Amino acid sequence: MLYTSESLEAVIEHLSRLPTIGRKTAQRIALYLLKQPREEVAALAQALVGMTERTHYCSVCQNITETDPCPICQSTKRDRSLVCVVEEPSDVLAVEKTNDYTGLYHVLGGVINPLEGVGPEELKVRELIQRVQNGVDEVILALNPNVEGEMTTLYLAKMLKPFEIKVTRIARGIPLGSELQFIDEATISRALEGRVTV
Amino acid sequence: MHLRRVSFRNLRNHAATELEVAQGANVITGLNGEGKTTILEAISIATLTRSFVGTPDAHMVRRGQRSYDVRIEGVSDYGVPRRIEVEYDAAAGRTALLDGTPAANAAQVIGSAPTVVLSPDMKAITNGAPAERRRFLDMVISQAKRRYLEELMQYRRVLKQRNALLAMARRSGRPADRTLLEPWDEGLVERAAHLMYERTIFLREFEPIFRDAAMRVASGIDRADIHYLPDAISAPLASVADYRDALWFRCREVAAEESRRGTTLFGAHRDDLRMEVNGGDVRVAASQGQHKTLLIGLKIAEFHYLASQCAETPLILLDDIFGELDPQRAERVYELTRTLGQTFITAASLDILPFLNRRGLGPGEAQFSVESGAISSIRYGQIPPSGEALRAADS
Repeated sequence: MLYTSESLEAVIEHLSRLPTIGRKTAQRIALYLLKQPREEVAALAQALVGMTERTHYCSVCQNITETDPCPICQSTKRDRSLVCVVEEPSDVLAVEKTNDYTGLYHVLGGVINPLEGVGPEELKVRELIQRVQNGVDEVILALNPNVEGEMTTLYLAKMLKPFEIKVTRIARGIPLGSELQFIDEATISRALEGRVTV
Repeated sequence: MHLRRVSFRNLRNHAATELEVAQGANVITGLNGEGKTTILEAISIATLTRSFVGTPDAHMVRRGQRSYDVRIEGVSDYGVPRRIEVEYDAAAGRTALLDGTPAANAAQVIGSAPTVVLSPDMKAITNGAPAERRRFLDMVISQAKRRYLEELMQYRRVLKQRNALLAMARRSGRPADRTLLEPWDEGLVERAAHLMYERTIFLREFEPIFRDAAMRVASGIDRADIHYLPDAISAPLASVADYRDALWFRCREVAAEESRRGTTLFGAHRDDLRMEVNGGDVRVAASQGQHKTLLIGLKIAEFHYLASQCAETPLILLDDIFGELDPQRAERVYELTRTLGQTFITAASLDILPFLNRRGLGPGEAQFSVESGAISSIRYGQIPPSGEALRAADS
């Protein structure tokens, strides 16, 4: 159904193209924005434009940033000999939230997926190799535990082997706060395989 | 596990059907196309995540509707109420609830209410292509071992990706990049080794059960055997490590041919089973009648195997199999399966089961007639346990 205003309709159409936003939600957001003070809406519009104009990929870690290198890569508090490889910028946020990791990152931009035509050339693999050549002690592979993530982990491990540095992958196992009886068998099997001495 | 109630809406030609079932044998009669098999399919959708007929979900939905739902309620062997609810919607896909809790994936539902299905299509297990026998293997072991199903789903994914990689290389006219292919080799070998080892273990346990069951139902058979034929390996091996070694060897052996043809030429998706009667391959040595009875033997063996491996007694779905048997054998199979567990049987009419007409329905038996997607009449051998009002609704 078309609303009476063409400009409102245009906003709804743009919003409904966003991920997880359906037409109904788009309508709600558009009507909400319509009720806001003009400055609020202008600030949002400006923020959106500013985001696309000012952000780019960090030349070192390939994360999204406004400065180059990004604040993490520039920080003097960070351990520069340690690189954690993740799929997407959102994974950097996830690891950062732990406050436990003090090394640098490398954002691959996805995983190897032949069915979708994604190979190493489509990812930031060459950039990773370059960083390793410039001196890194350990690379931590923190990709998602699905088939494609696992195969990409194996591939990167092979590519990094000639450099004779430490290459590790994050552990797979039981989520904290859960109970063994409710965990699926595959996860328990993997957790048993990855058991550690106490 | 036995069911108490089966209800579903907008499935094939059924608008809304609900039946309270008997604890023993449930005979569903109706002419072809009236919708009797749909009741068995509904149970299969709940316990095996899909119809055994193999129809895609989108085509299961009643004409003019966008979604269907199925609900089965039963009692576990320990007396605990269980229920499985499945909802399919053309836009949202399929969701399943196991005792009210959303199931994350198929693996969580499969095996919780083990089910043995025998339908006319399954003749292909004894005389069709190897894929039919692998489907049989996978269906049985997946219900008994959840890790197997997980590995199988991952194996299929790795295989698809590896094939895509090989096909891409073939199109480009260059052999696949070894460093790019190697992770997929490893992924395939690891999972294939696990699957093949599990299949070996399964056959070891299954063969004596099968031999015994086949002798009981088939006639003119002195000996029935079933063997596992792992791809390109002469005899089953003793451990996952042995399979891993054999698969790596095979991987290198077929590498050149694989890049020429652009597809995977080794692995667990090329396994087969060999069935024998009186020492000869069943495909040439067995008569038409023996094929039928061997298949029944295979399914009875599947029941015994699942009963021994799972926490629950399996359900038995027998779709349209009695019409092909002579009356004496039909009666024997009927009585045998009825004593094993709860059965759901379809037949064009009761004439196919003349002994039931003769002796009448006993306790634990029920008969439902189906006409144009609705229950038209119900008879019980005794009042069902709950005594609730029964409804054959078509709203």
